[in-house]
Amino acid sequence: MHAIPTHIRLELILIAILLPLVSLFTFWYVPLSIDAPQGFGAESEISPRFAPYLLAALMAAAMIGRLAQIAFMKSRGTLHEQIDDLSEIGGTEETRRGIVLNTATMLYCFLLVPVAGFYAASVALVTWLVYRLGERRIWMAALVGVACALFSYLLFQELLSVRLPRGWLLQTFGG
Amino acid sequence: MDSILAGIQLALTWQSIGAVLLGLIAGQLLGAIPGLTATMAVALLIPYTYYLDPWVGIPMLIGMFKGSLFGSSITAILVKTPGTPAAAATVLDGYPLAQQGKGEKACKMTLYASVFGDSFSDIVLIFGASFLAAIALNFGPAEYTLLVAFSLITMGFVSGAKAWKGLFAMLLGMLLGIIGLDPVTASPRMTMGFLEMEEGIGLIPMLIGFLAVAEVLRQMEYPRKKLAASTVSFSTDPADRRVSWAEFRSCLPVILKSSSLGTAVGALPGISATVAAFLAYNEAKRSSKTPERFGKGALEGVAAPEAANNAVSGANLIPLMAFGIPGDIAAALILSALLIQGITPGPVIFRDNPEPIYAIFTALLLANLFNLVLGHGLIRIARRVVQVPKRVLFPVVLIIAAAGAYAMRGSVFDIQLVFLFGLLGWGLTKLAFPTVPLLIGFILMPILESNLRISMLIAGSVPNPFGYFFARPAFVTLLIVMVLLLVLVLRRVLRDRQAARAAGLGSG
Repeated sequence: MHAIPTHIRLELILIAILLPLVSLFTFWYVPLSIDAPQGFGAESEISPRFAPYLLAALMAAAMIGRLAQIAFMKSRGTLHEQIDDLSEIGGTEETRRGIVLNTATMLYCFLLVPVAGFYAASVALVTWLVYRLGERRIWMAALVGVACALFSYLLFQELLSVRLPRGWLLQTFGG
Repeated sequence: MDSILAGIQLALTWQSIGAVLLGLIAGQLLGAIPGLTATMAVALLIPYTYYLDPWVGIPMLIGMFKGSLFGSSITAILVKTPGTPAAAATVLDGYPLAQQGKGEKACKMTLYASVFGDSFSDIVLIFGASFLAAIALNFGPAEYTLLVAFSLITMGFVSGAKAWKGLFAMLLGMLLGIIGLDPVTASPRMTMGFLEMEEGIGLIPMLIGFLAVAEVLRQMEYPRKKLAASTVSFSTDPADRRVSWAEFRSCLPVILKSSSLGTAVGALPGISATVAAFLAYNEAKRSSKTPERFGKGALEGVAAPEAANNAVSGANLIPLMAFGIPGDIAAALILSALLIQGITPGPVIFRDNPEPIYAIFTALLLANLFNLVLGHGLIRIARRVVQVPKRVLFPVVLIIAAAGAYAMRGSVFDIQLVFLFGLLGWGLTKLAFPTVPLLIGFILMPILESNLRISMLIAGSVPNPFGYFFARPAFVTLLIVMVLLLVLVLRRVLRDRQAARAAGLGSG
């Protein structure tokens, strides 16, 4: 009996998550969210549901095909010959850093830009990122942030006449 | 003939020439900064071309793309950081040459091979695209469905280490491509109640999110040591700093063969420059009398992948110009810039309004010429350029990405989309899903869906649906040609993969 390599085990977990998600999309989300107007039945090739159903079916087929391939290779004892495509994606520490960075960018675009405006939000994000990436002089990090916002202002406001978002605060209290 | 002359005239104004030069300089410098990829640099620039005259914006973008391709090879050679996946094959012999102090020689050989490969494929494009476009005028929805499906299937299968992940990513991109109002019934599809989504997801936020933001986020998570500036030294011996005529002549057969290979691969929609670069490298090694020098600093090992991957960039425009179908991400970027300027490539433009196409061809050739001249200047300053600190660069890229996305429609929603796609791209990369098939799937889905639905309606209305497809000579010919080409290329790819695996197992 051959042991299943870790990367194949992770792949199986991934398929175990994705396959129900695709099913949920097909049997719950598509009928619920996409209307098929009178005369355009769900089974018709011109129904708006045709493409999502087709794509979801192909997604499921790709995953089921992979499961069958893994089962076949396991029965032949050739699973260890599979390329480990997850080996180069970084360790837990890198993933944790990635999650923190993604959280920061989400805060930037969903909270800071709409509330504080593009320039203030950008100064805050750039300063924090430059500091986090290794610049120990906080004033230097802030300087990069201000320079970046100034460059954006000159390029967009002055050269291209594009007003970047002012933000709720400035719109409410700044007149 | 009048159209050709009018096209050339469009591209030979001082504004266009200046734009090519500016694009090349910016592209070379940006491409040579480790961490900034060629596609990232071009994706960031695209929104700004909206504010320029078409014959300034398009030549600038062409220059920028060609310049950044060369710049990315510089980082592959000097600091072992390929700026595009296609430049990964250049690292194999380029980096050993740099370690021997011959970085300048390797960069110069890269420049000559790149410009040769690029010009070769551009000439094939100029003659081949108009010929194919004339044939494509006879294509109906069935042929277009076949052509797009072929591109997608090929791309899905050859991208990434595992075929199912490439296919899944491609299908996910296609799913994102149908968001918005249904083209036949106008019913909203997967808009989640957002009015902004009814127009569909914009191509620009998608490209910037996946190509720039996701890549920067991925690189910023590396340990700080890896983000530190790199140092490079060049030998002072003049022989190590130039490519002699004898050296160039000895590499010429390899360059010619690799350029032909790259052009053939690039003309097939869906097969990337990375495949061509590795195929050319392996072919050069296989046909060499001294294959043992490869991997230790052989000039042919730099020339072969560079000629091939640059040949792909020109040849990739063949399916784009002739059929309106982008074969790779580079062509997709050019397509988005053309669409912004109101130019829709395809067979109809060749028939009705060919001047812009000939202007683009002229700009491509001009860019090659200027790339050769300006490239020497970049090599001289390359040591300083590769030392730009990433801790400053990456945050600035994020802000440029956000501002560029906003500038297109003036909507904060687009900034949010950019970062959401950045998050999605980052997540997919962490799970080893390739993102290029996703983008190509997204771009090609509207073309595929409309043609597929029309084909199925026609086929459904005749007694023998299969008879409808196989009674069309264009469909049958296209099917045979594609299957033959696919078998030829895939056989070669599989042979190379098996050889690589055997070598890996052997050594391991």
